[in-house]
Amino acid sequence: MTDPIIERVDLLREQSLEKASRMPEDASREFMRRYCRMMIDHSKESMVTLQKDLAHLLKIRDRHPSDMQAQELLWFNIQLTQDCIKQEAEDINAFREELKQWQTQK
Amino acid sequence: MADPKVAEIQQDRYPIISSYEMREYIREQGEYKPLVNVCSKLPSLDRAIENFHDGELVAISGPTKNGKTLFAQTLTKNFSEQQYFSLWFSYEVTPRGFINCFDDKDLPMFFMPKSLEARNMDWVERKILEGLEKYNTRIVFVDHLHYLFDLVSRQNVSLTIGNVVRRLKGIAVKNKLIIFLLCHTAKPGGEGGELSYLSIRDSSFVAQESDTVFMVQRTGKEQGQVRVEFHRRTGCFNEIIPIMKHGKYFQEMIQEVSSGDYQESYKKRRK
Repeated sequence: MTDPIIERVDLLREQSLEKASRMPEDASREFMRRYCRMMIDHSKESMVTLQKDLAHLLKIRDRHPSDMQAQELLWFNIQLTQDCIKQEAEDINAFREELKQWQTQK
Repeated sequence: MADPKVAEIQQDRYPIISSYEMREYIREQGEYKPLVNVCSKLPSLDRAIENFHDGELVAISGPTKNGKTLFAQTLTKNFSEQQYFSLWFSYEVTPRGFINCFDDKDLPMFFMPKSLEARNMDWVERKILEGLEKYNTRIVFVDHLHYLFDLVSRQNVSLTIGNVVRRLKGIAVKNKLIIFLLCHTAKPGGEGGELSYLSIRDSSFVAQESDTVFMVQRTGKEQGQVRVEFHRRTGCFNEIIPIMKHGKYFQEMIQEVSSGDYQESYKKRRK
């Protein structure tokens, strides 16, 4: 016949062991969640800045319509800025998917 | 002592001048080049109207569910490819639905207010100017006209529409913008029904104040036509451009014609 006190001690020991083993995983999950959220915020900020940049380029384009060399340079710059905005949008989407995965894992 | 009225006339900034003086004044200013000159990328349409220029108010009309919004979205995408980004007031479709209408993998760049205020023309004007200041949006789409004023409280809808359309035209000219105004037709035309710019709902002012009117109509499954009812700048009248839905957008339907037919059509167009 086993002693109930010893049984209780064993149970508590097992529980604390399990909790301790889970701790690094929890920390890692929490870190990833925070990391994804931070990256989403950064991408959003970056997107706003790039849009402002795009607006400036468009204004310069309209100000110098006859300067063909400048127009060519501006065309590529506008294209590049647009690509960057699209890339930021894709990054946000990817991080959001990643965040969803980390949030569903317990 | 000189008459103060005469003195006032002499100091007037906008005096009356002769046609010869006016011609010299215009010549001094040099050749007119539009600030915005964008094509629709529908070749026959571009040939007919010689692109869209700033200061123009373009009415897009047609029966409901016949492709007005889709045609406008196609233009938005094609303008975006030419690096002219539009400002959208999409009252009829929710922002989620509106964004989903575009190709998800290649969403064109355009701008829109986060949320919309209906029946407030002052608000619309403010947002147009905000878009211009912040993002240089020189192309504006309004979907559609009847959301710009209060239909219930107004006594004379026709006059109210006239007022709204004239104000939009003024905004387009003053700020060098192109404004596309979508409006419904009065008659439920459906497929193949006869429609013209006279069928625009509630007011003839829309056609009178616009520089051009396009009538979009379905002719079959995934097929339709855009009819240029008139175009003030080029004098184009009643030109039909067959279109078909390809993916999420419209594109021109190229008709195979024999050389004789083509020559006839070319001559007709030149006339």
